[in-house]
Amino acid sequence: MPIHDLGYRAWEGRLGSEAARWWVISRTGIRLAWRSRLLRRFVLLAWLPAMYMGIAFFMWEQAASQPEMKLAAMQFFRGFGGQQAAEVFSTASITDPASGRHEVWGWLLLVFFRQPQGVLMALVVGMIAPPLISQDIRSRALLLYFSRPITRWEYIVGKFAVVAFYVLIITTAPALALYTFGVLLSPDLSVLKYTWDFPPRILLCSLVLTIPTTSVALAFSSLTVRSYQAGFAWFATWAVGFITYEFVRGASIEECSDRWSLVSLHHTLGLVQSWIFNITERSPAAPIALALLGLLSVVSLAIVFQRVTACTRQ
Amino acid sequence: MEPILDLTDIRKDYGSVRALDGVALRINAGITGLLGPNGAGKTTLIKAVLGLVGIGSGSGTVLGHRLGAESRAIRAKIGYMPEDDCYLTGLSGVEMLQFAACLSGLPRIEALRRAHEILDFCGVEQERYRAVETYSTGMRQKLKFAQAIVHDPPLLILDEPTAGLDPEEREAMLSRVRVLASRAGKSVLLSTHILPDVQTTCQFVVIMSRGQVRVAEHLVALNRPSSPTLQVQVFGDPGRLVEAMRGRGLDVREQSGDTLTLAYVQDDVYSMIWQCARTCGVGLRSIAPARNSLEQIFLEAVAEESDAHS
Repeated sequence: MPIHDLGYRAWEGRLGSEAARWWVISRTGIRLAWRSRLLRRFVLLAWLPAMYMGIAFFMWEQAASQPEMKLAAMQFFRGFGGQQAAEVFSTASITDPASGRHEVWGWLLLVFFRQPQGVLMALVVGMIAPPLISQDIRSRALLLYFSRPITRWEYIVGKFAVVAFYVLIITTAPALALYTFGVLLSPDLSVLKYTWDFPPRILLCSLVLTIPTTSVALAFSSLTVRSYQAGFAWFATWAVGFITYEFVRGASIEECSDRWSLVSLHHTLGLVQSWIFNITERSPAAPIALALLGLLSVVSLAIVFQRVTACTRQ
Repeated sequence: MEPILDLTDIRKDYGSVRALDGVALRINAGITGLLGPNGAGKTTLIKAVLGLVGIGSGSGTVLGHRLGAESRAIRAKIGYMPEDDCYLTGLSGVEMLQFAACLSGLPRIEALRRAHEILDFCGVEQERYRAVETYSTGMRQKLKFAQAIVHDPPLLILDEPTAGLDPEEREAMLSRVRVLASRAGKSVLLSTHILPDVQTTCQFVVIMSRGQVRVAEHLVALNRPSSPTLQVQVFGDPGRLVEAMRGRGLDVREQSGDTLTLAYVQDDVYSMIWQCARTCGVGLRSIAPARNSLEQIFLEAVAEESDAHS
């Protein structure tokens, strides 16, 4: 037998499961995206807010167990999140750490999702999603995909999972790490009894964040063959909505502000996330926001499906 | 023997344009050339076989699987090399092949091993580690061919596999196709515009025009003239030889340059030709049974269709 046979040899192995084909697309997409040095830095950067939030968890636990720390903690919270943070801190019952802990942790996790991670998520999705489908359309790679035993939905799920993976890495993973950190700082493990609902809330919040944003980003990617156009559309959607809402709020149209938040993807997500963490009284616009996000996701995925189908048939 | 492709009355419309018009085709194992002018419906037929486009009506089987209903199973058994210049951005050649193998279900490590093996077979050397965007047209052709065979499918559909290749690479590509068919038992559907490729590689020929199958026949049978005919090539002017042949009762049907075509009816025709040549003092270059050229068959098939529509 030759040491190195350059001729053709048949292959007689066992094929993997058909159900996992989408994961091949995801795995390759995740690896390709990770080659970007900028993305690697962003992912690392995305964990810094979690470390800062960890200090807030630490201060709360110190104040709950040592009353002499309360003043220092109050000052920290004021510096951390302004007057609103100080109010949350002061209204949370230090004498009843169980209910106070739930309120403060929930508020901290919501702030974490809304502010640093909300912005970082938009940046990271804007880096990863635009080339995912547009490049495949430009290089006519769709024919290579669909001449193999995979369906269009598997392709879309595979691409979706690439973006979702990074969104989860920069939001869900640090949020769960924060929760674990809080549990470890607490006096004993009985705290789990009062805070068990946070991991599911974090997962639900992550889903609400991931599904619409990823769907919209992929829809933009499928509508063009130039990645930069998809990236521009993504950032423009965020920026225009955000600025419009802030403008309306600045104009003191108080009674309309909740409804107007629906023009901004960031604020629409915020309404639903607040609802999930049960921080404020439920806004009447929250169910509408949830329905809107659902509709946005369905429409976006339908666009992706339609575009992929059309490009395959050409 | 079960045919690899058995289609009955396949129709496909793109809006008001009928791309496939009652295609009925039965292809057995071996290498089949799929010929036709632009817009004949070759690519639509291939896409219909792969399940990439739905068919309006008709039915068929591909490798025993029902067309349309079992597209996934069909695609698992087909290696498709598209005509278009397509590649996966950001991957090196070997990564792209590994990815293609994984999409067909090969385990990751096995897919990498297989990718290297196939790249060796296709003559891709160290370029396999370069990003595919940097590949030349010829390299991309080889890579497309490699991804079509990496999962060891029983049926290969190759759309213009030699387009953009230099003569040496073209011959090497056709040689690989022949090796796959003869030694590995692959069936090949070769769609091309290059008739010599079909002549040298295929056993069976399908000619399509305006969405219909005009010719589907073994190449040997197609090449054979309807009645026995000889082609005689001479040195110099064949005029005197023609006269001498006709004088001896031979039926010279055609004279084109230094080539004569004559009906082949008598057993002693060869000795009569030699005697005529000696009498006239004309040198003979060759005497061979005449064959219909594929180009002539193709042009006739397409012309018949045009006539029918005019």
